[in-house]
Amino acid sequence: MNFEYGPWEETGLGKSTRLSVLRRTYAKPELAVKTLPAAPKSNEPAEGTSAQVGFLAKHDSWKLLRVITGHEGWVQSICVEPDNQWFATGSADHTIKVWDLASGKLRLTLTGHIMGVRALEVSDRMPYLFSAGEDKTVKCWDLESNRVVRDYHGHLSGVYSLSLHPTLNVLVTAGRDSVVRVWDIRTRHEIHVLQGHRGPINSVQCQAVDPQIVSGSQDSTVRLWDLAAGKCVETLTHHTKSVRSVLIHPTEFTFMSADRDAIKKWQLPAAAFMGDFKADKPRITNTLSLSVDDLLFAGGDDGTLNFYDYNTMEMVFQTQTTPVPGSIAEESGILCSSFDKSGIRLLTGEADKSIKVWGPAD
Amino acid sequence: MNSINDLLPRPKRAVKSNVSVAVATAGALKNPETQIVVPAANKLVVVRPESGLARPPTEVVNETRDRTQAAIDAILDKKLGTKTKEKSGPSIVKYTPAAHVNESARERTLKIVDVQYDPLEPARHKHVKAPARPPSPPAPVLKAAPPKLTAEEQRQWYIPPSVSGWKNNKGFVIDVEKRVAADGRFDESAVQAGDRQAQLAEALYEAESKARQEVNERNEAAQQRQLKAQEAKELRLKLLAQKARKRPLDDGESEREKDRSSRLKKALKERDISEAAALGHKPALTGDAQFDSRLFGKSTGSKGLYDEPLFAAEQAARQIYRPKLDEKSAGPVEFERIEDKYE
Repeated sequence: MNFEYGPWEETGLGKSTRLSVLRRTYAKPELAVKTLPAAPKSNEPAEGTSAQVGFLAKHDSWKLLRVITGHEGWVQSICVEPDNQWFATGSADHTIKVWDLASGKLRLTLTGHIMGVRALEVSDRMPYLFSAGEDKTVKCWDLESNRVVRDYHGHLSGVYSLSLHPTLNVLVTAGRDSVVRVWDIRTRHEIHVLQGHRGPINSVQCQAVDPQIVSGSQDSTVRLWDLAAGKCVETLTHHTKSVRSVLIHPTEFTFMSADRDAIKKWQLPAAAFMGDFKADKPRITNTLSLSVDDLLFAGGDDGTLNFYDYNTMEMVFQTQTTPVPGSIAEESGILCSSFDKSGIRLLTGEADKSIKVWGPAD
Repeated sequence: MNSINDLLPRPKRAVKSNVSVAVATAGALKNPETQIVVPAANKLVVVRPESGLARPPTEVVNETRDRTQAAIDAILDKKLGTKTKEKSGPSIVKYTPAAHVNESARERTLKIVDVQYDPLEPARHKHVKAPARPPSPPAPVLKAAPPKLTAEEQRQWYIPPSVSGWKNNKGFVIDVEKRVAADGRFDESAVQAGDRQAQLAEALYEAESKARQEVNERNEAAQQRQLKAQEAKELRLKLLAQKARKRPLDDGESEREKDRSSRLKKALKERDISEAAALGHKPALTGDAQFDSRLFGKSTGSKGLYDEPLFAAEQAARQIYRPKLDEKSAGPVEFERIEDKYE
C-alpha cells in the first residue's frame, strides 16, 4: 500500500454542492446479519491465513463513504488501475470517465463509444485501457495520448465482457452474439472465435494456465476453453439460471460463478464443484469481486451488497445500498463492482447513475 | 505435467486429487480405492486441504504461455500470410518401389523440384462447401430437474385464450360466456367485496335508517305543534265571536260606518285643490284652452276619419242604380216553380 487516501469529507466534484447535501442524508447502513465464523484453530496455520482472518474480522461491516455522481446513465463497468491511483467507469451514457481514487475527482472523460460501455480493463503490462460496448466495438485507448489507438472489429452484437490475458498479448471478448472472440492485441486480428454457448455471454475471464478462458452465459452454462486449440474443453451445467458473473481467484486455483440461485465455487483445472456460497434467498447477482483479503463481494440486482468469506463460504455481512435521492425504486441495482488494489475500498457502479465508495465501518 | 492433457479434465468429469471428499447423499458414486468421485448435482461437499488449491507453479505458467503463443503465431501467420517459406533447392531422394508393384524393382534416385508458382494464376481448386462437423456431444446436465408442476400449479398457470370483443376476423363462433369472460366489466370475481366493504355498507345502512327515524320524529312533532296552534287559534276566534255576539246592538252607528265617514273626511281634507276652486270660482279660460282641441283639425288628418260616413260615396252610387221595386220589368227575372206530378 504505497498511497494515502485523501480526506473523505472533501467534496468529490468541482461543482457539487449537491454532493454534500447527499452525503448528509445518508443513514448508517444496517449492521451484519451474520457474524464472522470463528477463525480455524490450528497449531500451524496456513501461510497468511490467521492474519487474513484477523484482518477480515475488522471488516465484518461496511459502510458507505462517498457517492460520486457525474455519469448520466447506468454505471455498467468499473476497473481500478494497477497502481491504485485512479479508476475508470463506463456508463450507459456512452462515456468512459476516469476518477481519482483518493479524492473522487473527475480526471478525464473519454468519448468515442456510441452506445453504452459494458466492459473496461486496464492493462498492467501496457499503457492501454480496453473498453467494450453495446455498439459492437472493442476499443484500445492509449492512456498517454488519451486516444483510441486500436479497434477490434468483428462482433456481430453488443459486447458484454472483456478480459486481458495475463501473460500473452491477447484480448478476449464476449457478448450478445454468444461467441467468445480472442484477439491479438497488436495486429487486431481475430485469433479464435470460440463457438459453443447458446445464449448471450455475460462474463468472460482469462488466466495464465489451462483452462485459460472461462465464460458464463445466459444459457445457464459455464464453459472452459482451451486457448491454444480454440476449443471448448468443459461445459458446466450446474447452474439453473443465467450466469451473470464469473470470477477467477487470483491466487488460488479456483473460480466462482454466480447465477440467480447461488454463487458456485469450482476447483480448477478439472472444474470440480466445491460448493455454494449460502445466500439468505435467491437473488440475482450482477457482479462478483474479490478483495486481496479473500472477501468476496456479490452485488445484487436488487441493490443488496453481500459479503462472503471466501474460505468458509459463509455470508459475513449484508447491507442495502442507499439510493441517490430522486432516483426511483427500480434504480437500485448494483451493476458492477471492484475492490481497489488494497482491498479496503469497494467501488460499486449502480443503476442510480452513481458510483459508490464503501469502506470498513471501523 | 508435460502436456495439456494432464491439465485438462478427465472424461466423465472425474476428479483425481488429494482432496478429501465427502458425498452428502446417495446418488453420487464414490470409489474408495481410487478416490474418483462422480459428483451429483449440488450434493458434493469438498473439504479443502491446506494446500490443495495452490495455483500451478511458474514453470507450468511459462510452458503454457510458450505453447499457446506458438499456436497463436501459427494461426496469425496463416491469417496474415506472413509465414516465410524457406526456399529449398531441389532435393535428391533415393527410393525403391514396393515389390508387389513392380517385380523388377530397383532403387531409383529422384530429384524433387518445386513447381514454379505463378502468383497471377487463377485458383485451380473448386470451392466445395464442406459438410459441418458433427456437433460435440451434449454436456451432461448436472442440476436437479425442475420439480414437476402439480395440477393445482398448472391450473394457476392457465391463461385463457384471448377473446376480443371487437375483432373476429375469421368469424369463429364464440360462446357468449367466453365473450363475457373476456370483457373485464362483467367479471364478478374481480370485484371481491372485502370485510371492510361489508362493514361500510352496514354502517351506511344503519346511519341512514337512524337519520330517517329522526326525520320522521321531527316531522311528527312539528305536525303536533301545528295542530295545537290551529286549535288554539280556533278557540280564540270562537271566543271572539261569542264576545261579539254578546255585545248590545243598539249603541248608534256601527263601527264600520264610523270608519267610513272618518275616511271620507280625511280624503276630502287631504285633496289637493287650488284656492280659486276651493272658493267656488270658475277659472277663466283664455285662448285655445277654451275649446276642445280635438275639434280643431276636423277636416284634415286622421282626426276627421270618423266625422264622415265611411261608405258615403258608395251609398250615393247605390242610390243611383237601385232598381225600383214597383217597376216589374226592371227587376230580376223570376221563374215559377213547376209542380212535380210524381212528388
